[in-house]
Amino acid sequence: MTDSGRPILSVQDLVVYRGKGVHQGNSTVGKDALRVVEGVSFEAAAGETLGIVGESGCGKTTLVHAVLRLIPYQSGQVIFEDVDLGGVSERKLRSLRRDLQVVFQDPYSSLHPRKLIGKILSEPLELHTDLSAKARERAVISLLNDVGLGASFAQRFPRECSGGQRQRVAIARALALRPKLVILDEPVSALDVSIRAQIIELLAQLQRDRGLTYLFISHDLALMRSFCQRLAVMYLGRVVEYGPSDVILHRPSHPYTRSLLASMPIPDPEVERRRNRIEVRGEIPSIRTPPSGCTFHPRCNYAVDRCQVSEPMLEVSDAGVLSRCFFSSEVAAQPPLDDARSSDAPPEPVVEEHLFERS
Amino acid sequence: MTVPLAPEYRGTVSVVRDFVTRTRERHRPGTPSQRVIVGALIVLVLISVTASLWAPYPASAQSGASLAPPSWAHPFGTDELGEDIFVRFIYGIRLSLLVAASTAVVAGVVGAAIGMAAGYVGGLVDSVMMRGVDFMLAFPTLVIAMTIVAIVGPSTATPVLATIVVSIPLFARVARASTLVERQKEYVLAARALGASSVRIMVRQILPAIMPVLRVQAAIAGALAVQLEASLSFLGMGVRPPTPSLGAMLNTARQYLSQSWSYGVFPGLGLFLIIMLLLMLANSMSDDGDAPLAKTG
Repeated sequence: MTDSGRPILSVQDLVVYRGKGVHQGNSTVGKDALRVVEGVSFEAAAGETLGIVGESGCGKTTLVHAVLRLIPYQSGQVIFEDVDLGGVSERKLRSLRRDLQVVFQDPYSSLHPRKLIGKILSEPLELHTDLSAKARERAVISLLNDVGLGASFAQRFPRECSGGQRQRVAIARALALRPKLVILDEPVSALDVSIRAQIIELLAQLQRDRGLTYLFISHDLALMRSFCQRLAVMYLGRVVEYGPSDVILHRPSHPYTRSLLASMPIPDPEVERRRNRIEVRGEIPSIRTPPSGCTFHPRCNYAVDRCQVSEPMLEVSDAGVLSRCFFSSEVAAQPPLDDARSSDAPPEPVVEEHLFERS
Repeated sequence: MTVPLAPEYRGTVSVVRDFVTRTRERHRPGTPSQRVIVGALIVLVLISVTASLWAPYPASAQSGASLAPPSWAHPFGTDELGEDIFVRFIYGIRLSLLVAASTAVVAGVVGAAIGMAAGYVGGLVDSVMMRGVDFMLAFPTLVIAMTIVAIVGPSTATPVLATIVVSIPLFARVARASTLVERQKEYVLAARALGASSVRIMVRQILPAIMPVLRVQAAIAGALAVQLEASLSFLGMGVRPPTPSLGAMLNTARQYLSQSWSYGVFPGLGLFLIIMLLLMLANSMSDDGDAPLAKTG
């Protein structure tokens, strides 16, 4: 899966600063600028879904904006279909954008509040095609049908739609130009839990129908499990683990991934009671003053003195994934966290003896 | 380049009315009070614009005794030259409305363009443009307007030009502030991600979003322009006599206050009426803020 064919999107050593004095193509930045994304690399093969997971504030959204060149990046490369996006002119970039689309997190602010949905959806067609008004109208209706909304939605304003409906509109807009790659920046985080499954199902179906490649950004590991073939785990602007998602989610090779997995609630009280919890100590450190050495060491159960001074590289662990940890082999050798969850067998009935003892 | 339509296209075109028509339907109505105010302004415009067709006397020609009190022949009386004050009042209103409209439109377009460019592009462009705007705002508008009149020389167009120039900074400030708010929003990012150019984003995305604010500002700027033109004319720096202007009439009336009450009262009432209508319009539009946004739900 990973090695079949050339990657459609390849990001190499991307470094992004944000803040004052940050300009495109300029590696010198003001002293107040923050190094938000710190040498991130990944590749997405055509037709697959690459997940990027991490806590709030780890640089996921900044990474997305930089990949789309909506904000400048200071070094590294973003190569989309053999074209280095950092090296093309604004004009060329605008025409390349039709193949590289994005769905933002918040469907309440990503749609123009004063425009009809029909208008919102025909804008990409106006920009990149010379379709007549009638043809655009037909295309808009077809798009609305594809995302499970009726033609009547063309005459609604975004304020007349629910969050789920708005996100469907945002997805339709992203698909209007039949792009090859769609970046999904937390597409369901702003939605009610009951709506999430529908949107995820819609995204999966569209991917099957159109052979789309997804770059799926989320902080929700449970979602990643079902949706992504490959996964990059980010912590404080760095990728700490990268590889096939079934391996990472079954046998993590980085303590951070392991603690993230351990913190996921399991919808089975028996398993939940039995399993070992790994505490993640403390808060995510400020990116303004990142810890020395391995940035995860203040919160890590495996940390030794060495972790405070030198930073580990991304190296292949025993589990066969890339991990940024000196102890990746020890971590990978831990018993899997999700035995109970991955087994398809129905859970055995358990007699809750201790409950009876009290009464 | 065309985008192939999905073969499974099932929509019915008949269901869809034209998007544009729908947009217009939605934005037209306004609140009842707005309709009354706009209706009153339209009536004023119609009366004053058609004055030359129905006015019983020309604007500047003796038609009776000088400083006559109101009568059936001269509803507002006559001035010191025996000209009919009612006719001159109507022509004065026409001038005031012309000043208000041209200022709202021309200064609105220029000021909004400056403000949006400064707010959207930012950086040096923003600094340079806004320092220029600050420079103009630092002086009383009347002083700038009088300077312009002194440079250009008096004519009918000069006070219009002066009011437009002094109103541009007001629009630029408001447009810049609103643009700074809007450009943060994700729909602007989305438009960029779709490949829209900066100019297109400003015109197609930001302008519709800040339009409610600009409309309020246009009504206020119109009212201020009426006042400024009257001030210039009162000081003798406005339109040249004998062209009727409410401000100039007030100035002359000042000398005859003891002989004719009606000479000063009616031009003053005319200014009051126009300025009040425009400010009430501004007020009602800012009350419902995003009227079309808030109303339908």
